[in-house]
Amino acid sequence: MREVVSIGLRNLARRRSRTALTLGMIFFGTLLIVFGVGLGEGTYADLIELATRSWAGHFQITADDYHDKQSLFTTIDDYRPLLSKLAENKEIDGVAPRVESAGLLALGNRTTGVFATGVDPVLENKVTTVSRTLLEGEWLQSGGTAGELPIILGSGVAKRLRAKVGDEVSFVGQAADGSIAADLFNVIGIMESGMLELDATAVLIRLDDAQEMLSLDGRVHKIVGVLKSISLADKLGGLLKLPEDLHYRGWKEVMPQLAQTIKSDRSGLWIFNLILLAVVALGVTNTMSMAVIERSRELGVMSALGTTPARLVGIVLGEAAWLSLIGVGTGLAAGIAVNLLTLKWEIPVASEPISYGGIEIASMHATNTVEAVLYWPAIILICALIASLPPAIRTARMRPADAIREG
Amino acid sequence: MTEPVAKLIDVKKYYKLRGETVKALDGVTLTISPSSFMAVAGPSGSGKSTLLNLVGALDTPTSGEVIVNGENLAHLSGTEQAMMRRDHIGLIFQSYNLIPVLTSLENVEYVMLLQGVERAERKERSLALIKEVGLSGMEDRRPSELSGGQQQRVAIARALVSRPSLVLADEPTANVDSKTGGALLDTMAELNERHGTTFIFSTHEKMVMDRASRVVRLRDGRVEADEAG
Ligand SMILES: Nc1ncnc2c1ncn2[C@@H]1O[C@H](COP(=O)(O)OP(=O)(O)OP(=O)(O)O)[C@@H](O)[C@H]1O
Ligand SMILES: [Mg+2]
Repeated sequence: MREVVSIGLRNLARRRSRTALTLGMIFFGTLLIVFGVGLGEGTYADLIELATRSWAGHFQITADDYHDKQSLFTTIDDYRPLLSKLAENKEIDGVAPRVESAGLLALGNRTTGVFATGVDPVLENKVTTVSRTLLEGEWLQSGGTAGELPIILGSGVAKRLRAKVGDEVSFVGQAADGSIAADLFNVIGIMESGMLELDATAVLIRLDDAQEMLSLDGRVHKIVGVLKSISLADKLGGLLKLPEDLHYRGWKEVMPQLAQTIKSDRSGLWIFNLILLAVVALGVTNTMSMAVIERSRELGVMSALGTTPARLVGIVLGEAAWLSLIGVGTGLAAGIAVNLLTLKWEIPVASEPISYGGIEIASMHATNTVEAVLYWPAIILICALIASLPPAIRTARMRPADAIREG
Repeated sequence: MTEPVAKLIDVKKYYKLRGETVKALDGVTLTISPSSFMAVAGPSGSGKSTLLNLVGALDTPTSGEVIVNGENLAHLSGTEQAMMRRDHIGLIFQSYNLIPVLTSLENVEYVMLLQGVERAERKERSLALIKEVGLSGMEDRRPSELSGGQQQRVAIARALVSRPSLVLADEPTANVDSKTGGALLDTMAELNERHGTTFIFSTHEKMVMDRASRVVRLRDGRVEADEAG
């Protein structure tokens, strides 16, 4: 089939401007898709990483219906053996226990509703990045401190109370034994994670303090964990064989809003890509139809000389294959390069950070994922070849006498 | 009796043109025996090209039968017809019809390439024939870089190089000067004598008809006369 290769190439070279036009179309189509998909997937990965790593974790374990109805009394009792069992699992990178309680926080005559979380200062630090999102002040220390109990406020909470580091605030809530839970806390830090809801309502205290205040000795509401690979988040639950009353949830179940936003965004991207694909395919069909009509005499002569119909199809497809290979190849290379550049120079999304699925993002970058650099370019290539089939088959069906007369 | 190279039995070819029927061939019966050197003559529009196209399996008749090399063309698939053309028929067109992107040498080699002839043999046979038609030194030129007569000589080399048993030439001398035309006829006559290749060529020209051993005259798609040259 060597003649197929060289005839195809030479014909492309002979029709420079049309070849260039179609090549340009395939090139830009591929570039846009590689960049668009790379940007989408890169942003999704960032968002998921940010959301899971800054607070929610890759998975959470809770008792009974705690996830749906956050009752103070729905606890994981005797959580320590479970915690060490999880810590030994080789897929798991870290786990941290939490106690949670809604309540009121007051400073002077100002009061605001908050969601208090008791965290283990050391373990929490290994699982989430929340300790590194402090705007001012410092992170919780474990071990007994005499006097006032430390508390960290979400930036929204601090704003509403007009609280600063060093202020004394009082928390009032309900304890598990039916009494009123109340304590004075000393503000040691103010955090801003970029997760809007968290910053607006969260306050963090030490796990031990929370357990004591809420009368929850030795019990927690939640175990939050991160995995070596987030891709396991959906499957790990099945592998853990937890007791019946405990429930595992991957990040998609923990943050359905984020998962849903990404899903619908992805389908938007799909539609955009399909439109680009259609444009590219039409361009190839058009170019090859023109090429075939223009050369019907020449193809007729080839047929007259004894070129079989199958081989004629091969010649036309060969030409389309060159066109598509060169267009997709250069488009792919350019797309990969652009994606790499965005790693270095992030793209600012707007003058103000935008909120996406409850997370604030200020800039984006594209990633060369398998979808971006393998699946989609392959789809473009296949579509381009399929698009050149109709003119190729039409050529093979022509009677040589007609083809030669028409040319 | 040797088997005929080609046989036409009551062949008709009608074209529908804006409601009117054009009878390009209207009942032609002919038997062409091996080693013929036959001219098809007749005024413009009498059906000469149509006849050659049907024998060359480039077109299908409206009715009647065309038998080439003992095969009824109507019974062959598109692929089988292509292989019949490749292996048994050489074609020379009035307007040369070389493949524009290929050089002279590659044009001549093309059919052998389809036949799967070895590269070295392909080249040797092509160069020999290019020399025979007087085009040595022009192997690497593209058709657009050759004169009409030179292109026609490449076309003749292309038709003959695969050693077909039947060569169909549609007005091979119409676009070349009479001296070149005479030389082309010499080449064809020599091949006819040396290898027994059958030639059927169409022409208006008296000089060409005089060289033929048989002249079939067409008028309005019918055989008007069939005489020894
Ligand atoms: N594809 C076609 N559609 C309609 N009519 C056609 C077609 N091809 C040939 N004809 C008609 O058939 C008749 C015979 O044509 P043909 O080309 O065989 O004549 P010819 O003898 O080769 O003429 P010339 O000497 O001018 O080449 C003519 O009237 C022509 O107009
Ligand atoms: Mg004619």
